[in-house]
Amino acid sequence: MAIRSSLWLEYQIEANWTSPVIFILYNTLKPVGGSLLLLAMYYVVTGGFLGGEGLYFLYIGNAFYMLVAQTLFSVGWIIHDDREHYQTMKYLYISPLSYFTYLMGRSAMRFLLSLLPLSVLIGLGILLKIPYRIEILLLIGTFFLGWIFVISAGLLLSGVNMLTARHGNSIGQAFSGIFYLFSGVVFPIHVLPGWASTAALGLPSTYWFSLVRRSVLGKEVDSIMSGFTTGDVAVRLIIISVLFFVISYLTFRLADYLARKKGIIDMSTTY
Amino acid sequence: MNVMLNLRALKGRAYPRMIGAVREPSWMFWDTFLPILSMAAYIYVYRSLDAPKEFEGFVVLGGVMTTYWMNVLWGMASQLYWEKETANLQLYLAAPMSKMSILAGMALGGMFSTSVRCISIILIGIVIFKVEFVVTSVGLLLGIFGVTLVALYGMGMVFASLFLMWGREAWHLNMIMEEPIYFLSGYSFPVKALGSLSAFATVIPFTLGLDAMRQLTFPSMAAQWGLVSPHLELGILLVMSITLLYVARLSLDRMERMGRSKGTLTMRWQ
Repeated sequence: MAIRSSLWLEYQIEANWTSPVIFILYNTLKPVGGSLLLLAMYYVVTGGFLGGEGLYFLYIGNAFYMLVAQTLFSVGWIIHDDREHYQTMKYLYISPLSYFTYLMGRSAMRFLLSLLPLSVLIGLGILLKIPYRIEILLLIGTFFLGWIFVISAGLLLSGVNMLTARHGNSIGQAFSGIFYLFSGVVFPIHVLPGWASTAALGLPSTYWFSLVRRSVLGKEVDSIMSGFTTGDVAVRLIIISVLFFVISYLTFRLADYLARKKGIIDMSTTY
Repeated sequence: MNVMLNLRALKGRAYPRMIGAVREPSWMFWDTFLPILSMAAYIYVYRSLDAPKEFEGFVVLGGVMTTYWMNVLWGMASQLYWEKETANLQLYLAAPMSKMSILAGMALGGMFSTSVRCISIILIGIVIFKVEFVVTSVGLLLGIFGVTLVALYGMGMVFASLFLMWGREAWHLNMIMEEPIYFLSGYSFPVKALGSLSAFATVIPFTLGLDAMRQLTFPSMAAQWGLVSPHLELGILLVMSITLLYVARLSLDRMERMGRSKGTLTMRWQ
């Protein structure tokens, strides 16, 4: 019941400020803008928009990254929104639902809403002649594992937000930059310095984006990640995701305890 | 007009942002370190495509200017709306100073932390990514940078009034003014590549400012990728600055009048 209410609430907060058509347009414009930016970069270097493994790599990586970025953008804002904007956090704490369940529900809806712009980007990829070889079962599994990884990251972020002031509004977006840089989203991880490539292999997102390419393009073009079989990648992703979730959950619980102990669950920072 | 009163108001509104940066150093991590990671990703995209080294410098300069754009969106444009939501706006309106001095205080306070972030971006560009800036005219570069900031924050002041008249739409409007505007303004690539679309992009002040600064710091690319001459861009930016500040003043007065007559200045969470 609590999950259903928080799913509904997230949808209302995200969508009820306008008509469904404008919401769909709004929900799509940001990811499309991000993709166009990368296409323009590709164009100024190569002089064209079509063909090339590099283009497929960055386009598909960026399209799926929007699931991560948009969900984290939203989740990264929930604590500050509840605490300082709507000032409802203390009421949520004394209501019969668990704040953790509430966060899970809201992040799940944001993840679902981000599937729409993703499908638009996949559709636009046809115009770019992206050679899709979609493996449906693998893709469904990839979505599920991706959701686990994204909510873990969201939980970690929420824990940190519990203890920090509001300075800007794009904390979630900035946080997702870690995964954008170190997970081989828009360039192969071998391009990174040696230490960063090694660090990338410890992130769940690296394996997730590898699974994305395997399930959508039918192959992996990253020279480091292509050394793993699809099964290896899936198993590593599951193990690292579970570890990441446990760490994120414990961090969130600790931050929750400290925030209540310090009396800052209704803090207001009007910088 | 009481100049001293307005200067005090300006200082008073800039103060919490500056002192907040000192009291809550967490912003250094969230607002300075993390956003640099996305910028670094664009540099590695160019490296993976074997692009000329200058393009990496383009990304660094783009990172600098978009930092100010982000501050304009989240620290200026949506700020009056935020102040209304946290019940500070009514206090501003009841106080006897000009509302422009409040906005100018926000801008100055925001520029402080944003400039720290920009210096970090430039240092990282030079030290880690070995970007070489070849400045052909320091005076012109600083002039263009300064005028671009005035135009940019002037636009933020206009948005602040407009966003106040709306409700949560304003919040969401901010979000769609990130990536699409990055694309239109040529954050990570020369805007000339957009062809005729670049004419529309020049409505956003940092498009011209960024293009001019790129021409002045990477002269080897100016002929191929420069939009128009930096002097002309400076002239356009000057006109934009004056116009935007004037429009900001008008829209602020209009917003206040409308808010008072409709009784929406104290309405929250709509």
